[in-house]
Amino acid sequence: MKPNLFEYPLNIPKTTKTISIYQTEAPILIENDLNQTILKRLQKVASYFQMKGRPQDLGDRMAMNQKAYSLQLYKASNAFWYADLENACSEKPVESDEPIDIQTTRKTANALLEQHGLLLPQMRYTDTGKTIVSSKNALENNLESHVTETKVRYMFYIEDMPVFGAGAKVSIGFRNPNQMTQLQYFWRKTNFLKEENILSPEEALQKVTKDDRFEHLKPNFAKIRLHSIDLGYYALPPYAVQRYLHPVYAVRGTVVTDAFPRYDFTWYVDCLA
Amino acid sequence: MARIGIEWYNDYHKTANKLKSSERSAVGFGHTLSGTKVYERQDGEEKENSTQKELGAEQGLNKQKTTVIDILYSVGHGNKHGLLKNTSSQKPTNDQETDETTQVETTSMKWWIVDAGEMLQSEGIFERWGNADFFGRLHYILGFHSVCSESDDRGQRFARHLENGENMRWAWIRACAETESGNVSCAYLRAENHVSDTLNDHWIGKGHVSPDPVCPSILIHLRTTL
Repeated sequence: MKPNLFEYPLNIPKTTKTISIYQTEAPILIENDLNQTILKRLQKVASYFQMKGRPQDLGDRMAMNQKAYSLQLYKASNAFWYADLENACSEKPVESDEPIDIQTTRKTANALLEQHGLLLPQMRYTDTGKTIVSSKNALENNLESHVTETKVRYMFYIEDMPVFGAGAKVSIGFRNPNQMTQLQYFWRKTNFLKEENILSPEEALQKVTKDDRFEHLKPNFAKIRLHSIDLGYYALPPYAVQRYLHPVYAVRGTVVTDAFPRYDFTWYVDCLA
Repeated sequence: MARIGIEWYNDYHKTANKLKSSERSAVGFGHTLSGTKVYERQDGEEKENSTQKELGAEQGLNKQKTTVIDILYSVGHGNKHGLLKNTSSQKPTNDQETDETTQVETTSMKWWIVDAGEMLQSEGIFERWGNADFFGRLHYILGFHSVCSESDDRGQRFARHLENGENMRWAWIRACAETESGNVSCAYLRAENHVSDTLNDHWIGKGHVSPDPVCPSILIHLRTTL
């Protein structure tokens, strides 16, 4: 029997024949009053953090800086990123040796989002991330490691399907439960537009196997293991204009070759029929 | 004038699957950052470049040995041992000095960005990359602790943030957060000695640039989830 280059997932989910298409509420870049709209939005977001300052146009973003505090609003998506630049992703050890209490920090994060109307029904808490710093002193040969920031993270779901991509995530950083370091809020508000027919998961996997990324790989020295396939949406990065969330299959897999034993990937395959 | 190098790997033949975004990311970086692009290499082949020839001619030296750069942006497959080169036999290497195909003078480089997965994975980081001889005058290696995805414009975003006056570490963290989903961690390895202050390094002409941390007394590794 001829060996096969691809191994398919053990479980291929059953999906519906159609998917809802969602239009985004991102600003339209040719609007005459775009700058006024964005300035108003910037002022509103700045008020969440008691920030005042002169707006600065960075091209794709409108920014405001006050001492070490930075706020950047993405014109194409209304996403924003607030950061205390002295403490966000900091190398400085936290004062207390006590590990941060995750439950308390989650409550604080939820309360903060709720207070400003940012806790949306589509958001789900996923996990906590960390900033971890290690250092090695050449003279003393000391090795030190410490957590300097804990991030409470959320993903977005529409009709119970995940929204993948850099444009759909929220992360709130803390040095301790009372000191927020940053708030990364990447999301576009959406409205239902229509239903469209979609490919089956099997058809989507076929598309992956025909991709020219694999044209040089042969089964005698390579294997491509496709682990899973999930239906969802894809949100472009916050600086990109996106009219609607792209319906996709997320295909996770690993490429194995003699020279490069593990390349893990997630590819997003357009699922519209 | 600041000197910029870019290199990318798209075609890995039998070694690994092809990449589709490496060129756009590297070229976007080179086009956006202010300075002179003096070094460009695609799939291991050096591209002809007039600046490079002049540099070699002026100094009367072999071009391959005299391409002096301040910053190098490299894109391709990676793992904890480094950037994967594209020949079928070559394995990833961190040994730039013995890599015969290396055509840049790495000891002058201040910043090396490796837009490839896992090279800066925290486990064993100082043993793999903390060798003072390798580090030379390097201020930073910026890359990823985890696997990362292909991005058409991560290089351009990074350059744009540098041009807007962000410091090196924040420009990289911003570019990665903007182009990756939340399950990825970016990272950097930074050198310091008694006269340097690399934490606040900016791109040349855009803010503070630390003196070179020659013979670094301390190395700092930071990783953060995006």
